[in-house]
Amino acid sequence: MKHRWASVFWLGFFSLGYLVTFVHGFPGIRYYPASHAWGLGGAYAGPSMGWYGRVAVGCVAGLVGWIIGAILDKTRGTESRPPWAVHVTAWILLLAAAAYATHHEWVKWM
Amino acid sequence: MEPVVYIWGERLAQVNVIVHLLTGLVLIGAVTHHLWLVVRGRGITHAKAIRRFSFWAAVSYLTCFAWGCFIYPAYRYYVRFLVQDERAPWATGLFEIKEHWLALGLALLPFYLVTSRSVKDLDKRERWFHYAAVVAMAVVVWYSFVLGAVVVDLRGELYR
Repeated sequence: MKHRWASVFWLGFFSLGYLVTFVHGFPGIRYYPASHAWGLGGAYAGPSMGWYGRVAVGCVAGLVGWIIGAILDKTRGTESRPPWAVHVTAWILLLAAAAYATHHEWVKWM
Repeated sequence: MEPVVYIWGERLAQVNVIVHLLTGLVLIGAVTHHLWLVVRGRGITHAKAIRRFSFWAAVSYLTCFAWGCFIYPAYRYYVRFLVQDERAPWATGLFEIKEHWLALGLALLPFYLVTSRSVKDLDKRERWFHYAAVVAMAVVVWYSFVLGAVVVDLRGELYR
C-alpha cells in the first residue's frame, strides 16, 4: 500500500498547523472582501476572512508532513506501517484542533 | 442603483451556490454509501465499491470545497456581515464550526482515500483508524450539509 506514512503525517501536521493558528498572537492571514485587500490581522471594522489563512497554514504544514512521510515510505518500503503511537498522535491532534475550533466559535457566538 | 462595493465572485454567486449544492449532493451520497457498507460489516469485503465511493467522495469533497471558497467572500459580506452576525449570531457560530470541520476534513482526506483504496492490505489496527475516518467524514459532511441548508433557509427570515 502506497503513502501509508505520508497520509498519516499529512493528517497530523495539517491538524497541528491548524491548531497553532488559534494560539494567541499568531498572525492571521486575512482577506477583506469589502476593500479587496489582503492583510495580517490587526483591528478592522469590516469583515475579514481569517479562515482562508488557517486553511493555508494547515495545507503548508500538511505538505511538510506529507514530504516527511513520503521519505519514510520510500526508505522503509511500501509494506512498512506507521507505529500505533504515530496514528494515535495524529488523531489526537485532529480531535484537539476540531475541539478547540468548536470551542472558539461557540464562546464567540453562542 | 449601483452597489457601493463589489465583492469578488458576487456576480456568479448564485450559480456557484448551485454548483456547491450539486457537488455536495454527490459527496453526501458517496460518504453515506461508504458508511452504510461499513455499518453492515462489508467495509472490507466490498473492496471495489469502497474504492469507487472513496474516489467520488474525494473528488466531490475537493470540488465542493473549492466552490465553497469561491462563494465565501460574497457570503461573508452580504449574508454574514450585513445581516446574519447581528440578527442570528447562533447561525454564524454553527456555520463557522462547519467551516473549521470542513477544513480539518482536508487533513483527513488523504488518509481516508489511501486506506479506502486498499482496504484488504490494512492490518487490524489500521482498520479501526480507517473506520474512524469513514465515520468522521460522514459526520462532517452531514453536519455541513444540514447547516448549509439551514443558513439558506434563514435567508427568508433575515431579509424580511
